[in-house]
Amino acid sequence: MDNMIGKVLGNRYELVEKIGGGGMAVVYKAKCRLLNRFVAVKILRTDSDMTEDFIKRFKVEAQAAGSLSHPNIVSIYDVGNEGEINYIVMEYVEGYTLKEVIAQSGKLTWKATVKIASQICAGLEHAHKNHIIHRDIKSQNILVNEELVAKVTDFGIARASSNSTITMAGNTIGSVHYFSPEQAKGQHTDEKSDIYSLGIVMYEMITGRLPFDADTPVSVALKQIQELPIPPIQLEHDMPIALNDIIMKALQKEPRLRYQSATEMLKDLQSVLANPEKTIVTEKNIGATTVMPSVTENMINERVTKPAVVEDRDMGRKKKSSAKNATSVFAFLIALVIVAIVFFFIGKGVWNAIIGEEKPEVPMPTLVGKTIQEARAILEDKNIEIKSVIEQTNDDYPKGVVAVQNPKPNIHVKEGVSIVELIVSTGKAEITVPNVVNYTLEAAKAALDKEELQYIVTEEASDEVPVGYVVRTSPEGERTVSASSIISIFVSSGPATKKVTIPNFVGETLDKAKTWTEANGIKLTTKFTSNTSKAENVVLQQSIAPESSVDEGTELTLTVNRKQNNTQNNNQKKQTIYLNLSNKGVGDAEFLVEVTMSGGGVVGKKTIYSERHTNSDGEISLDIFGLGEAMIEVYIDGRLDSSQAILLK
Amino acid sequence: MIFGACSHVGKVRKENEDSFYIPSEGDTAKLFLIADGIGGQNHGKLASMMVVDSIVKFVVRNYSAWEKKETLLNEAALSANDSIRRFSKESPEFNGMGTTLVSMLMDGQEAYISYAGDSRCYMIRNNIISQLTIDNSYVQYLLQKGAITIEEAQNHPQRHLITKAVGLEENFLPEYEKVSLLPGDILLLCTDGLTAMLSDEEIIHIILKKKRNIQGAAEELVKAANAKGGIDNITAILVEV
Repeated sequence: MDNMIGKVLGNRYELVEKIGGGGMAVVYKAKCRLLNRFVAVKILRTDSDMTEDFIKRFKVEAQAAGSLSHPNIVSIYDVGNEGEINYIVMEYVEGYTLKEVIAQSGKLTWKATVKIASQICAGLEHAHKNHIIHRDIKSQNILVNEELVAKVTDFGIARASSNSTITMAGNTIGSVHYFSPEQAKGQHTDEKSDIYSLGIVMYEMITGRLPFDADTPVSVALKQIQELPIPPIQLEHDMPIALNDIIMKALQKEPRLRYQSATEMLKDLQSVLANPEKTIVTEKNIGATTVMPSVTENMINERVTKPAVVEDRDMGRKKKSSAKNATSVFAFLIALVIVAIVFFFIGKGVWNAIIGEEKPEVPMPTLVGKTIQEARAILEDKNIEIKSVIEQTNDDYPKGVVAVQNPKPNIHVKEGVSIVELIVSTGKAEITVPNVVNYTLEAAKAALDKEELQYIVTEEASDEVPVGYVVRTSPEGERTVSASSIISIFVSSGPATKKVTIPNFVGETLDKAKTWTEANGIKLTTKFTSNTSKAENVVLQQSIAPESSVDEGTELTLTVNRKQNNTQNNNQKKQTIYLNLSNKGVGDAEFLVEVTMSGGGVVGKKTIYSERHTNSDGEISLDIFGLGEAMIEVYIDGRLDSSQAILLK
Repeated sequence: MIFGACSHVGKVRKENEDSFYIPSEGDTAKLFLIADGIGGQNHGKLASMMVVDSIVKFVVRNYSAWEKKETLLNEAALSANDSIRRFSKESPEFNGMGTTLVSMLMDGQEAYISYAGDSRCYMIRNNIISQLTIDNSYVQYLLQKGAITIEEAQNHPQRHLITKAVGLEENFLPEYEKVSLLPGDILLLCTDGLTAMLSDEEIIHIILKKKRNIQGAAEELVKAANAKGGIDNITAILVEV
């Protein structure tokens, strides 16, 4: 699948370069010839045991995900197949995965965390309303561009379970760090599983680490089920307690203790940004929401319009969970008290106005989103009077548009009573970004703090700007931005470090590896282990995978075969023989050296060494173990080259 | 000792990726093997064939000179792991190929079992069936840790996820079990294509009913698994002591 570059799919999408790959698919950047734009093309890996049914489901799911249209969701443009190749065409997003952003900054500020989480949450809200559950929310699946716009990708891309045997050995499934407990247990998953995974992503953003980690994927899955996370505030003391509580609520093991919808969570996220000091989720209402998810605002509204519903719904719930009866009744009483208190407070003023006696009632129209002129006209038409209009900056609505209305739509109000309050947007609050290029990072942060701008810090190589000084910002200095913008500060990490591509050392000699690492500025450490079926001094494992590109000076650990004499049978003896390989091959060409032993206490002929060499390897030594007379034969590329008899005693 | 074996592609898959070995005429070693290959595009079939082949050759080559028979299968599995690793390293398109393994060597009154993955060995003695192997699987792990119930394990969508296989890791170690045999004991080696379809009770019921014809019993097990849906390849070896 790697030789696909240049291929044109559907007579339209020309594959330009490989930009990613996972277990199930490979992603290419491609050029859409029809619309002359870049797109991302995801090609499903096909297997013979992938049934037609599986591919059909893949298409159905991709099409369902394609129906989503939201600024925080990567759009799907097209689903197709060409011969055996099944592919999805998606929006191409220039930027990084959130995983990379976190890796670059170490961790994010709490404001950036909330800002990004809110966007993911908004994307989820849209998907969930369309009955699409993501089931694989993780920081690798969130794309972030320089303006910190976050987009969720990989919606509903065939995660169908297969009946064939698959393995978890190695690291074939990567998402287990983000699995909800119910996913780990194999139980039913729903919207609340996405909320859990988002909680993990938030934890990762704010602390720079994952709440559950272990050596093997299975132990991570177990922790998702059984272990409680360390509250993020214990690792990150400066974050608002409200944000800590939002994350902890999203990470509840029991789905019914989490936020019940993305909408609910989004509301708390927005509230923490507006009012960081306010406590949102208290221990008590985490408990109360168990049996009563909508004690507060929804319930009051329902109480206003259709009073009977609340009790009914709750009685039903109580019956189902008899174990929770006491709490349920208790919570219900609390709810009634809250409702009563609210009635008490709003009773004197608004309430009378709403349900005043004489005048005819009309439902309050929707005014949010309308211009103030339109709103006035509508109200005039319905004979409802305006009590006050307040102007405020607002990020969500343009200048002159109603941002907040009170009372809410559909609440019945009396004609001719002046109760309506409107907040009209004056547009986004604008701030000029200070120019902080060549400032120290501390000075730049202080300058941005002074303007109350939020920021994230990213390291960037620079030949001109010294380490620790600001290279650039995005948006750049002197630009006017809205008050809620987040500025990316790019701080110099010094001149670009030279990248080195690590070759494969496994099967090579330690000497060869040493020569290479010295020549290429890689720090080499060695570990020794014994494997009697491999040659002495041969590399068995390397800590960095071949073809990885790493910075100069990176440490590479090689595990080298060092046979321990005592692992041999006690009565075996050792003898070392030397083979001169300097003229066995032609030029630089590789050749296979095989050494066999017959006799020496072993029945039959045994291959004791089999490795590839070149003339430049010169003389190599080989330890022979055995007892008594043995015949050693050396084969070069399968042809007998020499033989010698040795006596092991 | 009498034995029978049966392997079938099942009713859903196109390819039988299971491979097995039972003693043939002239064999000195009483060796029984099943491997259930993993990895797409026929790589699974290749892996299970290579591993069976490699283990049989290793055992045949070393059987008479090997003093501690107890360790022979383990060594054979290690060498099979090495040969798969070498092969898939040389041909990267085969990367990720591997296989489960359940192997049994009978030596006098002892049976030595080496295994990896979710292929199993059962023993039937005094009309009671007991599983001698413990699956190297994700679900088994969660079950042992008390994280899920047996019912949840049986319905877990990832119940086919295994945590160990031959050919996937450099530092592979097979699981090991040893059992002393009594006359009349019946041993069953099988792949998950059988155990995913049939409960332990159904398995022992079929075996005891067909005991007089051990080959017939193996075939009957496969037939029953197919009757229940045959979602995966099915292989069963029965050995009566």
